[in-house]
Amino acid sequence: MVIQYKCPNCGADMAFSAETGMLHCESCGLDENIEKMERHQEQLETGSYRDFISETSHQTYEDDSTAQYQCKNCGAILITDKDTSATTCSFCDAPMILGDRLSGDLSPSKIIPFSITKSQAEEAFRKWCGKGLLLPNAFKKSNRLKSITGMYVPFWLYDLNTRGEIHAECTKVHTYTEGEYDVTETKYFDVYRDVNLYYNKIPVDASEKMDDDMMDKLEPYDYGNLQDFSTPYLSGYLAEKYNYTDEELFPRVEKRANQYCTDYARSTMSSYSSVNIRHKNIQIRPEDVYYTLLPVWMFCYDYEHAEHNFMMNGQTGKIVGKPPISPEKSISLFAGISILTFIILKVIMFIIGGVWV
Amino acid sequence: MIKTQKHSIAKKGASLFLLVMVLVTFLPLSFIVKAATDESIERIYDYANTLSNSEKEDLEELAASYYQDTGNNYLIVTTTTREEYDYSHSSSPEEDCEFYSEAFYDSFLEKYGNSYNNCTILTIDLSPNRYADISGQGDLKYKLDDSRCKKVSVKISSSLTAKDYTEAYSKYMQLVNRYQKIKPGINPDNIFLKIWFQLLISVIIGGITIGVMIYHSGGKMTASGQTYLDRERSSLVRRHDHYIRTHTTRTKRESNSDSSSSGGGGSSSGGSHGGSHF
Repeated sequence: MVIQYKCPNCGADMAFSAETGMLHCESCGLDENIEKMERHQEQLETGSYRDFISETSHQTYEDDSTAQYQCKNCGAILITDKDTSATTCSFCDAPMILGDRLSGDLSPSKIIPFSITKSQAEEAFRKWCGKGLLLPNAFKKSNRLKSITGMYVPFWLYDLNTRGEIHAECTKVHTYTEGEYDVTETKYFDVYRDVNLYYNKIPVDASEKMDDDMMDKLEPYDYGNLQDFSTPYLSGYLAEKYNYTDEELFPRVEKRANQYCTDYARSTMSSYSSVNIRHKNIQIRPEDVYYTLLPVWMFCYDYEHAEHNFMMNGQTGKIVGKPPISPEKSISLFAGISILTFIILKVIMFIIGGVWV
Repeated sequence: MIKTQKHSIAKKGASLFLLVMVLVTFLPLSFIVKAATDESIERIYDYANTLSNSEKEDLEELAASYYQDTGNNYLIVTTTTREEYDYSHSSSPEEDCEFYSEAFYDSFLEKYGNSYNNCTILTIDLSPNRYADISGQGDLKYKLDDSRCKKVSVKISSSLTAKDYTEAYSKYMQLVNRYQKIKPGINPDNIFLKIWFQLLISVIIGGITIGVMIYHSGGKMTASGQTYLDRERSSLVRRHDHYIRTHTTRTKRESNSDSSSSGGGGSSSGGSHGGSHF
């Protein structure tokens, strides 16, 4: 089943606009409210579902790795990846939402819509490239941005309750002088903390293709704009369905919560000079989990016969990715900082010692 | 036309004025410097004959050049008897050595006048006592305090033991000259005053900065536990901080007093002193 949103005015394809947060018709300029379009779609579906299916487009073929869908606009057969849930027709560019991959178990419960438009993303990325002190000049100058793709990446957001008991040996060190002696007094303490912590919506990406490390670095997202899922948001973007269930990914969030809990307990021991954790017992219980689609801009950059991939948080604009590093620039910056430090040291020592040694 | 001529005359006048000013400023200075070099001052009194004539000349030249740079006299006196100058003897040969040095200083001032009062004196006692005393006089009494005198004497003692006197004497002048530039009260051997250490620190700081920049070039993790913590519901349920025991260590502080004493006894003005056997 393919869902395509048609403009009620002129019948052209509508796509979600990050600027207005509404569906936008390129051809007549109409902006349409998301909820309204959703209702409109439901009416269509309840009216004559069969008609609707035949009228728009339908799935024709599926095996383990690919599936074929037919675009209603141009009739082209579109072969999609097995994980894709939203895309655009590669022939006529019409947004296509693959409804069967967004229903039942695969139905997302929440979504953060894109708030950064494609042109804003492109501009921000160019600025970011220009700013990198260690990036090769050729990389900065060459305009080899191959593609920018907006994609809704599947995440699981976990609400967790973390109960942790931590035993630590801590010390307080006090030094003073007594006559001709320097005295170091180390006081030992047996420290115990029992914490009951609640964490809301820790995200873990559920897509096989996405680099976990990069996805973690894209955080944090602002949950103020977390919406209930609605298909029109996907119109005009790529979207994928999850590859891993919330249960399969629980160990990843567990590891993070474990660290968070330890950090929290340690933060209550900041008055000590040293903290040596002897024993900890942390129980992590999931309270709730939300299948959520989060917006990511993907940049594919061609440089010296290799592709460099960068990701941008589609809501906040934070960019991650491994850029090429220029050895010459690194060395000259290293030399510059070292020389500057040396001069500063010299000046300090001149002020203290009164001599340029 | 007239205007431009006037202008160029004014310009010429200005440059002439500048030239005169420069001459007025620097002429007397160069004259003084020249006068200083012309004056022959004997700074090395080798009663114990540790140096050949040419070695002595070389060292005199070295001392003269230091005088030119700093206005300080780095003096050397060697003795086998400690009898060349008059002073009231004491019970210890080391103290006698200091008194001898003070007496030598007095005679030096008598000979050349009080304007040459900023001196350091290396007194080499080649009697069976074998003691090297270093003393600071005038301003150098403060710039080269007891502990610095002691440091210099220790540093040249190995050359003295090896009877490499020229090496010891030139090293003494070089060290004394370096130490007197450093503000009083600071350990001149402090590791932060060493160039290799300053370079090392600079390179380490540069390296760490670049390392961190490269590490973070791909973006860094900014979300932490605080980002997702539900503050309203979370709490510290129980805690205790039980004191167990105290472990105390005492280390004796390095004392600043050296074995040397500030001499003075029989002399008119007491300088700083520091010495060691060789």
